[in-house]
Amino acid sequence: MRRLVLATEDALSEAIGQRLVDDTGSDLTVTERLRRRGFGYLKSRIRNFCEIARRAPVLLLTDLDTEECPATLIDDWSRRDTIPRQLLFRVAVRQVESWLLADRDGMAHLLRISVRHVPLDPDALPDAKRSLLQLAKRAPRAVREDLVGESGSTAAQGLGYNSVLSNFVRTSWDPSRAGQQSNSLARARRRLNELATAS
Amino acid sequence: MVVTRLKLKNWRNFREADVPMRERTYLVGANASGKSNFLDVFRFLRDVSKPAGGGLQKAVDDRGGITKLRCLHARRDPEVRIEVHLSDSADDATPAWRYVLGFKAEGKGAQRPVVSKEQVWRADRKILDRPGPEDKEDPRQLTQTHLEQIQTNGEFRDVADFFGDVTYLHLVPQLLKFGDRIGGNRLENDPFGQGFLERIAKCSSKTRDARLKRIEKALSLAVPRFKHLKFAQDSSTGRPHLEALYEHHRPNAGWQREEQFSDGTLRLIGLLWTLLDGDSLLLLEEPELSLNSAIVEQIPQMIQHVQRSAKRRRQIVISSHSEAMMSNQGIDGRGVLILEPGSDGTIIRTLDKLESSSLKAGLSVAEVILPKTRPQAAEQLGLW
Repeated sequence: MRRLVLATEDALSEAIGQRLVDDTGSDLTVTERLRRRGFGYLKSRIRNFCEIARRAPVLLLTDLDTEECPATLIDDWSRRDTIPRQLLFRVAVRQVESWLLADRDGMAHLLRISVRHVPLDPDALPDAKRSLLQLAKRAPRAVREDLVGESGSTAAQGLGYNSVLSNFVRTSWDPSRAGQQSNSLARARRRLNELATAS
Repeated sequence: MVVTRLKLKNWRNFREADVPMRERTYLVGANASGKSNFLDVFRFLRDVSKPAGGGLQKAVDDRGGITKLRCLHARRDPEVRIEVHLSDSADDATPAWRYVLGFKAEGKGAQRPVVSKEQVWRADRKILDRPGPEDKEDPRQLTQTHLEQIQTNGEFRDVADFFGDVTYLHLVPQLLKFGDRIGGNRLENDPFGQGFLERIAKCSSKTRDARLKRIEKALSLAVPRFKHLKFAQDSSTGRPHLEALYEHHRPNAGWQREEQFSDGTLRLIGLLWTLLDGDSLLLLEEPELSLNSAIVEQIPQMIQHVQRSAKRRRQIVISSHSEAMMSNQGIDGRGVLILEPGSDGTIIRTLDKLESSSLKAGLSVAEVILPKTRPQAAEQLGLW
């Protein structure tokens, strides 16, 4: 078993990271899960992650959000220091939700909607989370209320947003199918597989 | 039915309050801001409405008399007043019912509490207005509310039943575990869960098994190595017990009884059972206590699921300090009440426009509201 450190900004990203590592089918095992709410923690700890990466592989997963491109985000965070080889710094374009939408069949099944409603190029969405929430408004009541919340609510999402999507990631999301739609996911999977096969 | 609005005057540390309430209402505020006093309004109305051994005199007496109940910040006005609006949905424009109860000290003798005002509206129609002519003829009638009397509450029995069924839970694990050694003193309505096992025992075996099955499922997710939960009656004493089986390195480690459960496990069982038990207004005092934050984070959604699966949606009022619970971005800000202590008693308010729009922008109540409930000088405590 090779221990791997997984650093993410929320419960959903953590579930995704875990699933991607499991899917390598290698001896990589997530043993440390580092997470505080939001990316600020990840950014402030980047030097520590570099340090840890000298001893064990680290998968750092964050959202691109409104940054221009992953390279500028990484430069900004690392203050142009070299990122060690064992630190996989992967940026979802623009949110991890695009990686979920990228499995169009899986998402259509989760929301009980037709697959033609699920966007084709999720990495091009300016706000993938919002797109997902818009789609979820078409879902049957139970799923809709969990994801979107009740009508009139001041909340931006439903109470079950993280738990429903994390469960989707664990049980029915197909990352290889999703990788065909999302370039940022495909690259993350490739880098992880390289790490898994390297000794 | 749900409480859609609550108005208070001179109730404990609230000189004046007027707030909307929703199917899930969260109370947040610093220590001693009055969260429990807020919940006590509904326990008080339950005590008044209780068909056996209730009534205004007893409810006030149990709280140490009217001088303890009346707000210290009340000026000349001696009256304590509660107004509750009830409806089928929090979004109804006109409440189905309005109940108003005002009372004050008699002003002589034993200073008994007497009704100064009791009104009931059914939609827009006033169906009770006291003091009335009978009260003037026989002032002693004012020592009782019409709410508490079966002969007089017939026209608004639904309201009396609603208040009478209010459930409050603040399960104290130690009282359950060490009940025998502490002694059997129990408060009415068992707010601290000493009789929790008897309550489970009273339930029909079919319902009990179904509920325990559901609770077992939750525990197997929340408690490491936990496997099974069952109800058992002691063969010699006949006393009810809960027993749990854990995955163990010794295969025949056997069933453990509730006194061996962890505090958190007992609190969680109490919380889940109460959520499943009944459809009346439920008051939860700090459900986060003793629980791991990963579990606490899930409480709002668990409550929502229970509400959704029930035949009749019950209203749940939750007091909490928990960062973990309030960090769920799905919490509807319209159901959040903020208690702010001031020099003139505590003010209860809903979210203002900026706070609501911060939630709409994706922030959580924990981020936007909880910092405002932090005592300003708390960091100085470390220097104590």
